[in-house]
Amino acid sequence: MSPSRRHPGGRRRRRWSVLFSVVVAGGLVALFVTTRRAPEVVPPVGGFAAGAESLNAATRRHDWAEAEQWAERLAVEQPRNFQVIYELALSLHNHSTAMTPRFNRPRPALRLSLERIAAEMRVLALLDSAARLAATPDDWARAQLLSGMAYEGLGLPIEALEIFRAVNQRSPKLAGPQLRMRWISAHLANPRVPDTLFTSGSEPARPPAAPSYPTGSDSTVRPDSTQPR
Amino acid sequence: MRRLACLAVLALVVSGCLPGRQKAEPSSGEAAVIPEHYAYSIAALGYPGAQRAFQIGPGSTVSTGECALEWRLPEERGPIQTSPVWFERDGVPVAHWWMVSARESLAFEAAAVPQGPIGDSSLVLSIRVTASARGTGPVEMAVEVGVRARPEGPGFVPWDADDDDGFDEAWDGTLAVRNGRVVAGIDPAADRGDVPPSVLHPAHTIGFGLGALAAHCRARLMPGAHPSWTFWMPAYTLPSAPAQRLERSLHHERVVAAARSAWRDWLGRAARLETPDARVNAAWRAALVTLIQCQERRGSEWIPIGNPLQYRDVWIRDGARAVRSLAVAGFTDLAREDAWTLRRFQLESGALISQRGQLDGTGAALWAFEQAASLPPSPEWSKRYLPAAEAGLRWIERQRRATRELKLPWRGLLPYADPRDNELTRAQLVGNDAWALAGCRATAALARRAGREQVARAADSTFQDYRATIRGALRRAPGRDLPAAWQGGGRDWGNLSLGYPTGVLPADDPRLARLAARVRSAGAPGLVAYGSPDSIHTYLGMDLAQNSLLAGRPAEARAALATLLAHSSSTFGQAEIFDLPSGGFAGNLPPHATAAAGIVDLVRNMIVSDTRDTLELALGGSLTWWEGTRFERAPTRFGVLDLAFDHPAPNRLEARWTEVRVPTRVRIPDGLRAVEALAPGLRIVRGVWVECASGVTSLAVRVIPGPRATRR
Repeated sequence: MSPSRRHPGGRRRRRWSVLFSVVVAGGLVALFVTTRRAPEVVPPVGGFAAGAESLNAATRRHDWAEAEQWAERLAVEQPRNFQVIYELALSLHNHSTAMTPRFNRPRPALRLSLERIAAEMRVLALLDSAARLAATPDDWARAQLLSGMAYEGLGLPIEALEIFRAVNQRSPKLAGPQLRMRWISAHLANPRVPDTLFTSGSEPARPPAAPSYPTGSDSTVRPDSTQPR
Repeated sequence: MRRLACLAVLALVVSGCLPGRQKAEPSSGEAAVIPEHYAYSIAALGYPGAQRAFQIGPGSTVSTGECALEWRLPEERGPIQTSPVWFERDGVPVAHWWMVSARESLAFEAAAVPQGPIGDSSLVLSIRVTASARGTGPVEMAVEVGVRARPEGPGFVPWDADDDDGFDEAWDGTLAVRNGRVVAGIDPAADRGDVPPSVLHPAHTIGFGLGALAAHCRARLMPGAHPSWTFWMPAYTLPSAPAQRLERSLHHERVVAAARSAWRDWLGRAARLETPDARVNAAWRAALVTLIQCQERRGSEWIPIGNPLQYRDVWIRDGARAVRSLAVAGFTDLAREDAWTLRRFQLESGALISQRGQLDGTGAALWAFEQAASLPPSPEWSKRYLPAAEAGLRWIERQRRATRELKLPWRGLLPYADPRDNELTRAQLVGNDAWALAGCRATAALARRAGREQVARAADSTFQDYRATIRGALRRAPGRDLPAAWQGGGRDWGNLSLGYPTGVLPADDPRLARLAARVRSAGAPGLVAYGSPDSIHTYLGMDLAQNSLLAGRPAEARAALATLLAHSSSTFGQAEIFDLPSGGFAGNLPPHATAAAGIVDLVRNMIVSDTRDTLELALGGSLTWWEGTRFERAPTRFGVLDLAFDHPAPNRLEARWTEVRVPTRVRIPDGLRAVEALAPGLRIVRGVWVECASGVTSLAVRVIPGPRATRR
């Protein structure tokens, strides 16, 4: 008795089961292909230098959304480049915390606090990475200073103070961390101390805007000129 | 005045809410006619999961915040009255309102549901207008519908609305198009004019008022005939093709039926509450609707937001209240998922922060975790929340250690905060410490339930030390009661929570009573004035009301509830703050989720309280509530309970409840004294309390009239 006789219709069933398996497998492959997330960031067309110029231009315009996009692309290409990671953190922070006016009322760039806090968490992680990648004490200090300022922005003075102290310990001549340390320490002791108490003399309490992206390998930007806004 | 009276009578007749028909039951589309106490009647039609909601009102207007439809009776010479907006008697948020002139009346019915083609984050609103003649003869009538950007009167602008204030307007068949996007659809019978603006020849409009898109629905009204027209609106504007597909698939009756079915299903999941007070029952259901409307969906997560209209964001301080209220109302899964979402605010340091400088977030989130895991108790969820709670606890300990090491004047406490919110100051805020302390206790409870006794003991130890520090600081703090900030100044906010729910102080601490006396409004008994004496906050006083309940002053809690209900909207929504003389609320539209949460929690605790280690029943102290209150499937820390209060004879009270493993005591209502136990296992204490022996699950006592004064 042939198998086909023993199991009438068995070949057809096997054929269907094979076909079914192929269809299922094909479906899974198709599902995998279609649901695979495309890389969020594509490397800059025209090379790294062109991307860096675009980042600089966006930064000069304070167009933080675009700056962030360019920084993301550059970070894909050079994930261990301190300056790229640093600029990505800066533009992400500025983008996520920006309050653009609309109909005479401020509107956050991200609607939900969940998104804003997630962005700040990433900023802090990026700055931590940047600090680890820093080739010079100045770069390390810049990353740390920005990290401390991000904590200040979140309203966490103890965390910020710890970071500024660490920077001050390693780079005691840097004015920025000293200023922020003094500001926070004074307000911890007396939260009602006016902010303006710390704006006298040549030290600005609110340092100027973020620098242009340096296309060279070295940065000569002062740490206290990287104030997030 | 006569017309207003006619309107009210008409509404009552239609709704079947004349006296004697107060009992809540599944409605068949009947409106619950409730007075409007605010200057503008505004309700929100939202849906769980959606990212926008519709504003209904003021007047005969519906709005998405960036586009509105407005109905008018342009040919009517006499006065036209528009009713408040009402939801249905069983709490279902299907909106009803009326426009009435001397000759005709228009009945509006509106419902919002998600529709497959436009995604689950959007909604579609369907509105049906039904006309009736009021006289005995035929009436020629025309109702005009106009498209505008915003309603006239209070409104909101969604976060993701376009920035335009200029619009190219056109009709594309029955579709109203603004700047190339479909904003609404109108009834095919509506007359759009001889030369309506078209896609090829649009009209340009500047500003947010009525533009060039208007249509007229005309009818010769015969007595007994009720012609109707339907309109629809997407929450997000649509391109033409999907709008046409959507329009073809829309049927008003189906939209309304789907809304009723879905909302009845949602409300049916809640613990079933029925008191003899129909207003309280309606307010409870309305509060649940608000809390559910304030749930967004992101992937697999539920997100508790502050308000379905203008506060579509997450604040931990509000989200935690939502978690608690959803949990006590029986929405166990939703409460747990909301709490699970809050963990996403946790930084690497362990701090949980949703808005800059709001340092109460860590404690409030830890407290919310514990609420979600304990109502009813769940070791699994306790284990799940515990790592985040432990990290939060470590952050609290680190902050306290730092302020000690820095030798700050107010040390061992959290550092200064600048929350840029209601506190209106930069200072070390007393409320932040209260919530952090509640977080320490919550961590201990989670750990204990998760079987991590060592962690529980460590958290207990932190709790004890922290509470001693706070109490010590309170002894030297400025003022006779409880300050908002350790440095003094600031606006009262978190300090109002030092009794309930944070438990820094026992409920009968005299400073809590003095604080309540200082902040409560003379004009709105039980509620708190915020800033100006005429600005009344709807939920800020709820913790003080809870405290009064626990301190044996239930009349204060009842006053707070009654005042709040007497200053609610016609759908029992609450604005966050309102002006007492005028009932205005500016742009801070009702309904606010935290006010809804406050109502749910207060009503529940008035019936059953598990705040202390004893199950306490009938703390609300109202004899009225003994006339047949039923609370079924009610989650408590001691298990899920059914309970019932009855007053079968003038001198007899009876209660039944599910057995629990903790001691139970029942409060005798104000104005009565218990004098004789009529069942075994009961002990009467001072005529005010009945203490029940272990295993007792029912009570019967003889009562006599007694002094109104109450004591713990």
